[in-house]
Amino acid sequence: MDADGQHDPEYIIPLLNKVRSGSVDVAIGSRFLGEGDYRPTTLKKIGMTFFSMIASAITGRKITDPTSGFQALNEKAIKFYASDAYPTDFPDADVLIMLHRRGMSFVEVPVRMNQSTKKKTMHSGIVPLYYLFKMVLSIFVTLLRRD
Amino acid sequence: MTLKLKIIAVLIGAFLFVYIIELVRRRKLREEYSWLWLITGSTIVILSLWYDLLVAISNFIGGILPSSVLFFFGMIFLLLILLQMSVKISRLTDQVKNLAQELSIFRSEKERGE
Repeated sequence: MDADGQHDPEYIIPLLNKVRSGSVDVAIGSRFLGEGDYRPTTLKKIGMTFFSMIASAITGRKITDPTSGFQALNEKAIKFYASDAYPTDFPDADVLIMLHRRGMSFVEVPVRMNQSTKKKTMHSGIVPLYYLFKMVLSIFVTLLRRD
Repeated sequence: MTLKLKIIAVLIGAFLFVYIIELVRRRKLREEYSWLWLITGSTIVILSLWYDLLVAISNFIGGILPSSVLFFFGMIFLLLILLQMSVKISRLTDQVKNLAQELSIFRSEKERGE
């Protein structure tokens, strides 16, 4: 979970159950599957939609919230997340593609998150430009790897 | 610029660009350090191919030989890359120092605990 209080603990059980049942390796809480009314800024929404479309197309799974850090992981997934291969700067759609490339499954679960109270997020200033570059490059080289 | 030089410059720029991507692919280079290199490579290729742009820039900055201007820009980019490295090294130095200090404190606490 994120440590900023945005994630609603009520949804821990649904996420855990999905992974415990063994049907998936990772359960991801999505803000955009009906629960709650999270509304990101337009620019952020464009970015998220763009990368979720790319990730959905590549992995063949429905992805609506690629940057969600509200996740339940099984042992296999945690081993990957703890490795050097995991991109710690902007974990995003490229992580989902990496999971797919490593034969791990994931599914989205509707969750509720609160609006951020912080003024300065990690995506402020000129960072969006670098973020765009970094994501495109990361997804591109991920597809090039291991095939 | 002679055709021969143009070809050499484009090859160097293209090779640099592709090699940087390959380094990122192999996880030897992080994306955050690749962008300046990629801009350098693509700038060399673009300016070598688009001669008029190179001439326009040369005139703008008051340079005489377009080919010299090309390598002048190459050097500017190398400067920026070195600067990025220096800044990062400074930050890493602080982080290593802090880690070493924290480790020492933990070690001594552990020894006293036993």
